[in-house]
Amino acid sequence: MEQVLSRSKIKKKHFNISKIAFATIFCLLPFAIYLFFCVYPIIKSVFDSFTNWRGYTKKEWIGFANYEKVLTDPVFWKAVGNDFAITAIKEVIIIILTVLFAVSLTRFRLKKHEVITYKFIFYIPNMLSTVIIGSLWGFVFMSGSSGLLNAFFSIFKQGFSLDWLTSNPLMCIGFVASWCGVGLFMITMISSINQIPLELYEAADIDGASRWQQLIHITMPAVWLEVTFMVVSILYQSLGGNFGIVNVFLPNGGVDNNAMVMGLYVYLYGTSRGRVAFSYAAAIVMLIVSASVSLIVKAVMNKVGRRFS
Amino acid sequence: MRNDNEVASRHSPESKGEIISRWVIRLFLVVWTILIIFPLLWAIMTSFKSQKEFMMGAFNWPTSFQFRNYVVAWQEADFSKYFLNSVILSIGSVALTILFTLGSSYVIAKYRFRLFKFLDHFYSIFMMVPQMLLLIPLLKLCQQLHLTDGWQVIPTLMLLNAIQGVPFYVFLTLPFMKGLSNDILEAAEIDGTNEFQRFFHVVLPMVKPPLFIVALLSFAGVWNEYAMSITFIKDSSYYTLSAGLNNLMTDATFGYGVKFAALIISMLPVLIMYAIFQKPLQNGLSASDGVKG
Repeated sequence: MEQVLSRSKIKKKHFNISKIAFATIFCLLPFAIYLFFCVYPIIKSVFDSFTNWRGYTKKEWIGFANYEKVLTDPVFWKAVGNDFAITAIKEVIIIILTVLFAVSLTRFRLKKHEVITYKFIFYIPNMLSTVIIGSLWGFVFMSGSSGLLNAFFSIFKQGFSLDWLTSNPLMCIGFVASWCGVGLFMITMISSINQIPLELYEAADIDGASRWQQLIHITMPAVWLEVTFMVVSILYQSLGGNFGIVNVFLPNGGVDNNAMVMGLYVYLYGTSRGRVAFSYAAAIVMLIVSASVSLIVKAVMNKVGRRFS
Repeated sequence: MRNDNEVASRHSPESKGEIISRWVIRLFLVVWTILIIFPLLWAIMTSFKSQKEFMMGAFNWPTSFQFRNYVVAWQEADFSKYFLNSVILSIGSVALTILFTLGSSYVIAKYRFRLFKFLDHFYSIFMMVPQMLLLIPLLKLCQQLHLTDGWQVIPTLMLLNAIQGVPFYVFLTLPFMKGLSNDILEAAEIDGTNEFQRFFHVVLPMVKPPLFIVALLSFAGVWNEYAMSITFIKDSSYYTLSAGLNNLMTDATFGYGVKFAALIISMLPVLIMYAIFQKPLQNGLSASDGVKG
């Protein structure tokens, strides 16, 4: 009884001076900085997107003219298409490899040191920066015999030379983006698979279920939430986030905009092309496109998941 | 070829099919390993080549190892300067990130007050804001406030990197903070400590593992940061490695060997750090995953 009393006394004094001071300095201050640097500019950009601001000129209200121009610009729609193509390549490669590797490293009784080594190596690309990955693979895809890929194919066919980045930019970008995307998802997937009770597999073994059946009927339903998360986050991140790699590979969006993506479109108009308000409008359209597609895909994935279990 | 007896005995005896499928699996794993390792090794090899050797073909082994490439990259291409800028920027950002996030997530987890519940939701929504939406409005704001002029750009980027990481790192550390025992905190309170003492002497020692993860991830994040570096920094003497490398790649005055040497110099620190801390890092990433579902 006494203990309860003393506890309730403490609760009454829950907010004393030092707590208020602490919360103000360590929580409200960062929050205020966050509001100023990360929320206010976005809100302001929404208003500015209805003007003809170019960064230095006077602002003039022009209504939806910027949005109209974005939505009727064939280059923007080309960028949307390219983004979807790159994302599709990424989804296929990353999902297949992640599931394959995560299942291999957990369910196939590999030696322990093998598992540790592969986990170590597969995560390396995640530690490298966009500009390093872009430059490195830029040299791999380089035209002429100095490029690694051309040198490799020259072994089979003398003098093989292809300008990979100009002829096939979307495949190259999609592959490189997957190259550095597998590691992180694989590690989270492995930990999800490790949470599945071993008894389930033992029971399946006794019942004579094959590895393949175990994958379809035990592993996949158990990690479906994880797979959904993966599919949606790859989609959401890459629809707006292909900017980095493309900007290193083909800073102007490639020949005839064949490598233009939404992020680069926004970036170019916001910086070198100097049409700031227009780029704000494009960024908002980009957000609407990527968020709505992600939500739809998420709903579909959840529906499929319910049929599974 | 046989596995640990202990593991094998827990399962049914292996059929021939399983052994074959394991070797097929190994094949896939090895192919992907080569795809990751080979470009990196090739980059190291090429960084020792002269311009002439580079032009002769990608697979030619360098005849004389050109350590000069590294000297040129470090001195003439100013990578010593960029390296120092990156180090300063990263250390400052990591310190600010830790300060901003651990305090915030402690308050959000332990204080019973509506506002802090709201902050939790707020941050988890704003974690989803794509970078391209913020980049240019933020650039314009900082330009208006003259935060990108001259040397000020480095402290500005420090603050911006740290503050942009807050939502994610709060999300990452919140479960650890929620898991802290209230009894210990109350005991410390009864002992007459104030909140600051409790945070630094009781809370921080208990959340060392997540603190470490935040430090590692934010260091790698800032070291590799690209979009802000290339848009905010105009004066080349304040370039970070990302901005410097981006610039060097299109600079015709330096040969390819130098470019590769610069590439290696830029990636080495993070790779060394990863090699040392890979275990806690991977464990932390897996732990963060348990929360998300």
